[in-house]
Amino acid sequence: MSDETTKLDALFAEARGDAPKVPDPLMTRVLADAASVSAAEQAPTPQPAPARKGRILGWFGGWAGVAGLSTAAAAGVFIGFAAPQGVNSVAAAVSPATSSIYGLTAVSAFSSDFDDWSLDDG
Amino acid sequence: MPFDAFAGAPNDALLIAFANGDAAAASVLAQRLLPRVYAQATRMLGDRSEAEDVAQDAMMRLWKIAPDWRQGEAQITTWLYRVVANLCTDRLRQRRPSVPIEERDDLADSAPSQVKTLMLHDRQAALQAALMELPERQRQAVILRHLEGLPNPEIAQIMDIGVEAVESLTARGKRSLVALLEGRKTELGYEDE
Repeated sequence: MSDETTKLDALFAEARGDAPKVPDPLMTRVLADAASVSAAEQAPTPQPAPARKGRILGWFGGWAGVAGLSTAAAAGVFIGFAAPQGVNSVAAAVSPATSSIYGLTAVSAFSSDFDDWSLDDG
Repeated sequence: MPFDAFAGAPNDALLIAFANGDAAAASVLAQRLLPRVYAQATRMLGDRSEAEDVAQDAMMRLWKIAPDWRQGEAQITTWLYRVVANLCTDRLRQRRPSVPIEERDDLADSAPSQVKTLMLHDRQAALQAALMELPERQRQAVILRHLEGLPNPEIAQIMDIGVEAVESLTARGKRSLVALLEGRKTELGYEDE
């Protein structure tokens, strides 16, 4: 080994003992970075908010609720326009205009003629 | 876990503890690794301000990779040296022609109190200046081998080359350094010899 190489090796050894010192602010920044990364990792993952369509469906109980509601609405429209006779006969069957129970003449719930209220003589 | 409990723990165990939210593990890792990272970056770049940026960036990458680190697959130090080497290479490529190192005051203590300290700084400044004149790959190999004291197989991993290539780079680097330092005997305190 040449004399110059020996001197260079001595210089390297000296350099190893005189390594650049870490500045305190750098250490502080590095530890702050670690804390921020750790906080982000440990934080619970936020649940994504449901989409607007999903929220509206939720108000009506989901697709099943919406389907039931639609069916009921369609049935209401159908009954209102297409089957008045049927509605009357159902009403008559449920509440006949002149039925007599225990000597009283009932008045149809749909009647507004309160003069018909009377005691049955028989 | 208290700071002392981690004193003898291996680096990868500390990294896993950090990934599980242990702040003390991060502190021990930073105390162990940041000096090496910062020294490597300072010697590669010859600029402390840039070296601080590189060191912080490299450590940030370590914190971020912690949850995915697979224990036993690689050494954290090897991985980190490689990250620093790549970050330094990027910096050096972007850098404009640099100010000669002896004209900068950021590498020397501004208020040395003793002649010995002055001479030490002169010698180290001369070595740093000579290192900066080496081609980048030679400089990297010499720093890792002779200043960081790493074995050639680890340097080969860091630089992604073969062990023989490492030996060749360090040998050529040393020859160049001897030649470069020949003209700096005054700073080295060799003028009387």
